[in-house]
Amino acid sequence: MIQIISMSKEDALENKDRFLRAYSNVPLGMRNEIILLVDDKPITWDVAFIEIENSTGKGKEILKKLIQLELI
Amino acid sequence: MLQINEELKKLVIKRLEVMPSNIKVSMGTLGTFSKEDLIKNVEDDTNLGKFVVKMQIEYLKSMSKGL
Amino acid sequence: MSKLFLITRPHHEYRVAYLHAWSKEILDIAQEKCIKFTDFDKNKATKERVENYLRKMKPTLVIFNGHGLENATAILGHNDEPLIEVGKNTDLLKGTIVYARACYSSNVLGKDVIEKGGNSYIGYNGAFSWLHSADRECNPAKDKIAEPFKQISNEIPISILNGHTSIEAHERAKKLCSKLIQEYSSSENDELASATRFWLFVDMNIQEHLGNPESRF
Repeated sequence: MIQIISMSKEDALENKDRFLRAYSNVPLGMRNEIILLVDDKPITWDVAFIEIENSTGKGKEILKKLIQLELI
Repeated sequence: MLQINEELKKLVIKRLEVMPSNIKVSMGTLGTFSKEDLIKNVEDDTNLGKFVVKMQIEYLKSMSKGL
Repeated sequence: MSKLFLITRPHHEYRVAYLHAWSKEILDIAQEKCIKFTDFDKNKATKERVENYLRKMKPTLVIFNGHGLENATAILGHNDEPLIEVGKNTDLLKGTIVYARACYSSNVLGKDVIEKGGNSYIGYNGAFSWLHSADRECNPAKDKIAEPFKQISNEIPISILNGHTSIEAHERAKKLCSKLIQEYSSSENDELASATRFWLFVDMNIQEHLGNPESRF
């Protein structure tokens, strides 16, 4: 059980890293572009960064969707 | 997969909505399109709409790799 | 082959009028470099004229401006008359470098041109697209919004006329496109930048080179 939780935490960190690597490559002028919809609401790179950086519930949802859509 | 396609369409439509209204896209033989025209084509799953969705997703993927 | 080029520039409706206007830069450069060319301008861009010219003059380079059929089998001229068509006259382009600023043509026509002995073919496997002002359609020469699309497409024939190989011309155009996308990605850009980036990206991705990469004017 502990192992599973540890793996999830590692996955979460790895996914966060993937996002941060991608985000840091996005030019400044592009960071206000919409990359995702969450609850039908537009999410830009900058908004995604705030949520993911602060490890919010929404951040986890955003990460999951970004990976599902193969955007990171 | 169907859900992802519908989600992608909605995403692309939201992205197209922020295009300025005082410009148009000429796509050679296919015609000239306002953002409303492009959105309609995406909604209606026309060949043009599918092309726009495909290119938008490739563009988004390229963005994250630093183009 | 004769070291000269043919350019077709129909002008019968506003979209081809953009290509017509953009091509002036190519002709100005050719004149500066004393390169001989024939300009089938407006209603001169007909199949009969093109065929006769290709038979007689065998130019090293042909630049087609115009619409392309969605089934990729032809490039059109004045009043959308097919100028070059699969299975009809592509053999007339034997030994020639072709740049086709027309939609779709590299998918089928371009391949046929190479099969029939064309030297190289640079074109597009999708709809060549550009942004323009909603109210500048009557004056394409002054439409600044369309300027980057003129630059990336003119880069191909200009590079060829400047002595680059056809693969170099193809790559220079893509590199220029990439550079422009970067410029439009900086923090100091207007609301138009996002749309410009995307449509430049489309054109960069649909541009295709076929045939001999080392072909030179």
